[in-house]
Amino acid sequence: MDFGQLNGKNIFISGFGKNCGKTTFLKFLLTQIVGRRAYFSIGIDGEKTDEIYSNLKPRIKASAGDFFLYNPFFSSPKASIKIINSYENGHLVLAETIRSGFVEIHGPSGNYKLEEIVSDLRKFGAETVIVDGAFDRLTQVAAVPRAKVFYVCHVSKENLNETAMRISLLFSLSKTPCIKENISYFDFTSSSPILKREIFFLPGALTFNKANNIPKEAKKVILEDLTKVFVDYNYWEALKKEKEIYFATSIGLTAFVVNLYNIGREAFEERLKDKEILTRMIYNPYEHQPLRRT
Amino acid sequence: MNINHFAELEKIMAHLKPLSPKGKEAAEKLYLTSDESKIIRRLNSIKLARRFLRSKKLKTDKIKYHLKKIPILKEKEEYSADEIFLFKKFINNTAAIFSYLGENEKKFFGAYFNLQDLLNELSKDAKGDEFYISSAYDLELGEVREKIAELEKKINVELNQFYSQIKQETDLDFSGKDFLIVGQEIKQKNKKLLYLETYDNFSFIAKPILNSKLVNLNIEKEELLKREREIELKVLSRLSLKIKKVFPEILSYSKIIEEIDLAFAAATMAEELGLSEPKLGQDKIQCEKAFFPPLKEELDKLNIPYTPLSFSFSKKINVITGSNMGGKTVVLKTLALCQVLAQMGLFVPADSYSAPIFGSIFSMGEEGHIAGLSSFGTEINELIYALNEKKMPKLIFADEFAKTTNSAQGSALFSAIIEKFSKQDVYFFAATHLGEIKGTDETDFLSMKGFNKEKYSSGKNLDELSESERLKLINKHMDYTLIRNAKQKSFYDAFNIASLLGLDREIVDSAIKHLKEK
Repeated sequence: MDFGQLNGKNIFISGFGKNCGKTTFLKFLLTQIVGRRAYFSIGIDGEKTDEIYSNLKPRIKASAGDFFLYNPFFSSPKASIKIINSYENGHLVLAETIRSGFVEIHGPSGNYKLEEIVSDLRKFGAETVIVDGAFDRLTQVAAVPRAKVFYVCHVSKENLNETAMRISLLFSLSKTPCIKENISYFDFTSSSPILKREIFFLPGALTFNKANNIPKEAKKVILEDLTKVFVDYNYWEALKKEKEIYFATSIGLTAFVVNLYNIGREAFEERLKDKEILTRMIYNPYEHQPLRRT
Repeated sequence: MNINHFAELEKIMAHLKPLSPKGKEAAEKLYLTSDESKIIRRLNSIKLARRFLRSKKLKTDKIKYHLKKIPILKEKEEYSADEIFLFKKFINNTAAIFSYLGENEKKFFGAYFNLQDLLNELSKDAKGDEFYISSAYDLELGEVREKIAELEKKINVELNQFYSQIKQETDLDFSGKDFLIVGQEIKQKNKKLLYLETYDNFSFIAKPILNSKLVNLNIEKEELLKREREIELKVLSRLSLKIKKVFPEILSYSKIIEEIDLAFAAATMAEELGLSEPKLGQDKIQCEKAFFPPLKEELDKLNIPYTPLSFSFSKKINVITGSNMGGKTVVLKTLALCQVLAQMGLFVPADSYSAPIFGSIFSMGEEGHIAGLSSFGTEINELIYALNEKKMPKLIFADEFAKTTNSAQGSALFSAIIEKFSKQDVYFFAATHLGEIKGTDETDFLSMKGFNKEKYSSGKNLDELSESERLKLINKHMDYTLIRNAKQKSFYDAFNIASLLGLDREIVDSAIKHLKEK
């Protein structure tokens, strides 16, 4: 993948399961992205350890000019910093790095602050903003405008099938088209489902229960975005055969980052439902070269 | 029932949106008071803020922008860099807010900024709200930082050489990475350069082992960083002392900002909802085009016109009768809301509203049962509570008092209460369907004009009407004007209203028959 294309973008790193390697991937991205970068995580205290690499939560080496968020009650940056702003009654500090050094990042505890912070960072001069999202909380992506999303998975024998199905579902969701602009008579701020001219708009989460209640006369179904889908791969595929499905907002799933553990690439790829996924897959960027695990 | 609950105060207070944390805290703690000077000061502050925001929109926006940036401060002996940042942010934004105010506002709020010296001191190499422990604070700090910078250059040169050596000898390219995951073949490579940890059954995590030169350079850097930290703490200590010296002044600014924030929020709310300044300290209650915002909002949504309340209450005891759904409760709620807001020092929903300042305000009604008591029991309990209150004058609202008991006894009790209140400095507003209530010289019998039977044609097919259409129909035939009567007036519109609301026609007809038989 050409990581240079990420310069100047909002990047959101999500992941499947705890300690799947999100922060380690963020550190890798920092070796690839140039210009003024900004990064923060979600949550005031964050995860304590990264079990994959048996480390304490990976520290990030902030370079001069980088912006980051930290909680002064939990950590003290080793970098020399200028304090730019603070949020949540001083529990979250936005700093600009004057001299490089290791830092621990934190972030807002609610989605509502995400957009404000990203906007502030741009105002202060950040070119590329990277959010280290909480695991299994893809819904946070919707709060980061036009984000390039990376989905990180730690794949072991224990979660092989589950992860392959999850990735297959997300890939299928990412290929779902967005509504055409001419369908403008829906009030997308509504919180109740609306059926108009055989088109059904379902705001909020698509759960098994809500999916079962989609009116029979609806030919087309519009959902908010891919983060609101909470059915499994098989159910989603069956629904797609029955109805034309669209999203109101597009969320770009840029790539799946797969960290294999005691599993070979072939064994993993066999489980994927759509081989096109491989075109959007990055294997552990810390692997010196493709490893044969057989 | 709690008077705030009866007046549905929460709904109107949701429109009061201060922007600073202290302003928000103050809005939550706003309470009803009888302290005339407090009320007058707040009303004047709102009047001033409203005049300002009407004439100086751009400056108002700037004030609001800076109010949002005001942080909460805490008093301490020593402050960390992030805490000093908060002080700078507070002082910087306070200075901006004060500077946008006009001379009248400055004088009223006492908004004169005298902390420019401290602001300058906290602004070395840092513009706006930013804070940085600049080398300008201490000569030695600058020297140490220069040494660190030189050492870092050396470390980088050495690191580049070191990584080239690793690449040459092991073929591993770390390029800024802390570690690499490598296969079993790594065991054959140079063990002096790499530290290996097992990753899984097939691979290792390889990390570079720094050479002695790099280790020594890093130890040297750590020493310098330690010294830098010591000097930074010294600087923070000096700045903390300067802040401590002027803390009482900062605290007074915080109070001024709180008052400004509340005044602008209340003025904004007044503009949004069409509120006006109440006139307190009068003998009687008078209102012109008073309205109850929660109901007005609902009716506006349904496109139903709202009838505001315009009335001069010349007596202290006012008994209001009227049709079901005729607006009696809304009259009480409108007056209660106006009085509560006025005694909180806020503007009220009316074109004009004048009233006395009451020592205590109560409401009695069926909602909000006390555990273990019936509706009637709860009302009596509330009545006892109101009677025991010593703070005069008292304002009491009673909505359908004693409606759940025998009507003859209810009327008698009602008459006795009126008799008692007439002897005291009590203003009593009661809405009731009870008949034969005995008044005193202090009593006025009022009524809503009510349902216009002549205009109402029952020929409509009511079954086809939606709920909002039914409400519109009731509204069309209901006159919500409050009028004064020589004696208590009774209303017999219940059947018409029930029928309009969609009650089975057979039941309505049968009820009419039963009444005629009586």
